[in-house]
Amino acid sequence: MKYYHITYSSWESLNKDNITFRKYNADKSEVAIATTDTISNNISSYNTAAELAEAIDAIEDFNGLEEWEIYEILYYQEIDD
Amino acid sequence: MADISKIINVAAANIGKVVGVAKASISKVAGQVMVAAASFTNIKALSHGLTEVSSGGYSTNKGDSVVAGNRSNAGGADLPTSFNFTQDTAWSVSFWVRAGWSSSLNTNIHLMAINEENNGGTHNYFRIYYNESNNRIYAQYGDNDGAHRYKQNFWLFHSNSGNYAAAYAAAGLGSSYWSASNRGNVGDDNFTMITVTKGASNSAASSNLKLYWNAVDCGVGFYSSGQSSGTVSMDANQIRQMIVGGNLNVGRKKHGNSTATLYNDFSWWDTELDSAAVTAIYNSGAPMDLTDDSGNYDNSSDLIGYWQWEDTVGDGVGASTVPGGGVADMYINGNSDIEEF
Repeated sequence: MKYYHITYSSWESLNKDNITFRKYNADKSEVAIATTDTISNNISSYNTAAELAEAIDAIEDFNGLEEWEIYEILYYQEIDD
Repeated sequence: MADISKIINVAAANIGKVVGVAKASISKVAGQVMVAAASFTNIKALSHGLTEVSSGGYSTNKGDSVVAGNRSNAGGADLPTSFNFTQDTAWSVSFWVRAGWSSSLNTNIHLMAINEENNGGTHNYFRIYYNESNNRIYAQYGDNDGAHRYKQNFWLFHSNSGNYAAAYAAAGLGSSYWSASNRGNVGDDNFTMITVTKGASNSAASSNLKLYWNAVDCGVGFYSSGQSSGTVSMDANQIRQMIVGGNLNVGRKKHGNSTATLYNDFSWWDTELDSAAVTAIYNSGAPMDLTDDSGNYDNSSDLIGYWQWEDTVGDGVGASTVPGGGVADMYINGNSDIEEF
């Protein structure tokens, strides 16, 4: 699994099939994701869920992210809106 | 028609009809069994901001919440062993909540959690939270033996199709998320009654783990058989601690209450309430006295915890406990308070 902080425009262009977690920031301009794909067009990349959570948690616009959320509040394309 | 003040010595068989007379205008009917209305004066609730610590990161600070059990920084007596539930026992939890968070909160609203006393996180726990980022309510139980093992289900509220239509209709939130500006279907004073029931099976399938929004079953959750991670093995010998408005043993920095979020009448039974009982306790939107059976509610003897927050105790910082005693008080943390409305 790979973990990224990306822009919304990058998110829009992604194949969503392999996304397991997604959280927008407050104005939906940026996205934190977990995926099995490699995304070269990213703001930041992280090796672990813990690293992603720590980095995103420090960005106020994301209103917090804890590591367990990445494992348990999963992304489902069919109910994505 | 003038109000009737008294009917005495009239056999029920001889009363065919009383039309257009308000119940409140009838002071006495002699010789008849009167069933009291299932409601009572209920004017106080517990308010809180969202859980907050001084900076990001984990903390044992309870933030703005209420806690029962002998927490290291909460005081109070132990919860009794009747709360030592496991994956193989049945229970039901119900409470009223008036959403105060903003529509762009983008995080989790931890409605309630119970876990192992004086231990952190996911040890022998059950929690209900609203994942505002995705408009879902999660119910989850599990334990931690070096790794987090759990069973959970969630219900989403903005999809009016397939299995999700039941939750969509129950909540009445439409296509927007649950917030202070979109409370969906509510009872009196804009409160929503949230109830989660669990049967004795070790399963998070909707046949065993149900969510009710007010009186309405939210139906099949997202996972038809529930979602599992590892084999849950909860310890029936561990005393538990409970928090309302917070998550397990962790305080977190949060933002976004546009008005105070209010809770009222938190209750816990050691049985799975059936849908008729849930409808009865919803009582058309008015919290009722759960210590007495009424109509299809026949579970007053199964009630093991009941915090109405009608009275403060201690130095004005505590919350009232269950009628009959024997269950720990809840203690108010942070900026929470008892609020009259």
